[in-house]
Amino acid sequence: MTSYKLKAGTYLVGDPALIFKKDEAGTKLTQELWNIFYQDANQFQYLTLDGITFYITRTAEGDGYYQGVGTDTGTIMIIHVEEHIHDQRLNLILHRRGMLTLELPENGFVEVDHFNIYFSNGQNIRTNSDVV
Amino acid sequence: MAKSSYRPRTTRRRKRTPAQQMLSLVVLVIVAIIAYWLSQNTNNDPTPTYSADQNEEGFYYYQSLDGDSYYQSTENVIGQALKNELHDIVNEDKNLMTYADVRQALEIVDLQVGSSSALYGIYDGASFPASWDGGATWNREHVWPNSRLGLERVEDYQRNQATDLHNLRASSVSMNSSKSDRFFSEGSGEATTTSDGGFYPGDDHRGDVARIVFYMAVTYDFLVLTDDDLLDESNHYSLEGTKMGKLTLLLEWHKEDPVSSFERERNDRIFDLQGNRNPFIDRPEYVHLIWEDKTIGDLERPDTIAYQDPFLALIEKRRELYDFL
Repeated sequence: MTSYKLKAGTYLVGDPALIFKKDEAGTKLTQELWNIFYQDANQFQYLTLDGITFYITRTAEGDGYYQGVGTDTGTIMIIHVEEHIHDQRLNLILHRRGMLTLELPENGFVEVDHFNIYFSNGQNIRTNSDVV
Repeated sequence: MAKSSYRPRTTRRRKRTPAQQMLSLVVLVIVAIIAYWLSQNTNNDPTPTYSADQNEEGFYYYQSLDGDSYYQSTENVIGQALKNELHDIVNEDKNLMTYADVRQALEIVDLQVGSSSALYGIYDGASFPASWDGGATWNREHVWPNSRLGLERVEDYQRNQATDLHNLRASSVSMNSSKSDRFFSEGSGEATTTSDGGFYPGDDHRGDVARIVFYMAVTYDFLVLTDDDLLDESNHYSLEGTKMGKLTLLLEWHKEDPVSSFERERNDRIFDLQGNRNPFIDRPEYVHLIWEDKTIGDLERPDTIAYQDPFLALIEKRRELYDFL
């Protein structure tokens, strides 16, 4: 199990395919992301890519729709909205279909265990149907 | 006036010996051979190699329906009527699995040709052990992306367009991430993302993805196959966001990368498990009849056309008789 502290604020939880734009700059970042992430894809990772910080895990079962969060990349990322709201390389749209908008009124944490994601506010995203 | 010292140059030609003439000829021939070789080997736009079932423009020949009970009702049907007929055929006995059960199904349907233990990965041809390993090396790739299927929710116990085996392929986890929700776009060589926000599936996989996408467009008639607005992701995971393409490119890829033995075996296995077939693997010419405004006559094999002429048929019969005697 790996866990990270989260600052209070608003987070977007979803597929990097929807968060990173598909223009030249966004595509370059996405390619960099996969190069780094797949060096150890079984780990829940905290990454900084050209000034963008976020958390990312693979799902246990690849593409799918897990408690309101859809993915075509087989991964789910968590990004602090307020920190990156002016970054033109990102689509930080709140309450979007296929994504979760998470409000943390106070500092908390996120944990990933067997590719299931647990937040300190009680919300979770289970991508592993073999683990109850 | 001083006399000019200018004297016209004489242009007397020195006569070449026969040996010199022969040498010149040999040099000329060698230069011509090199020029021809270069012209054949430096062409950046290679002529596609079509199969024996395709004409010189890549269109697949029309196949007889004799003895083919599955598609019998499509006889002499073209265009939208054919699309509707195929929609009914593939949905009639379709028995979808749950998304959880698809994992085990792919262990069977995506086996490499001639193997009982290794899967064939889409986009890069990677090889995986034919057992589910918790997504460590391979997972389920939606060729028509999950987010473009018009579903707001998919759970493991559900059966719907997101669990259709024809659209799901075993894929290396990193390749699945690179493809993500991208539409298919122009490229060459190996699979890669493209600068227009799309994805090129690789030379050896472009025909496979085309036929899968055609199957999805026919089976689920709310899915939209198009060239336009494919970069718009604002309606993903809703019925308004079901666009996939690019159609014109997929039509070309269908010709340039013909149906493979892997696809045929896979189609048979899915028929056993899910109860329906991909018509565009069995009858690739139906793509031209639905999306390219071709008629059955346009796709007749030349020898078939000859047989339709009574005079030519009579000559052929006489020849057969002589051969027999």
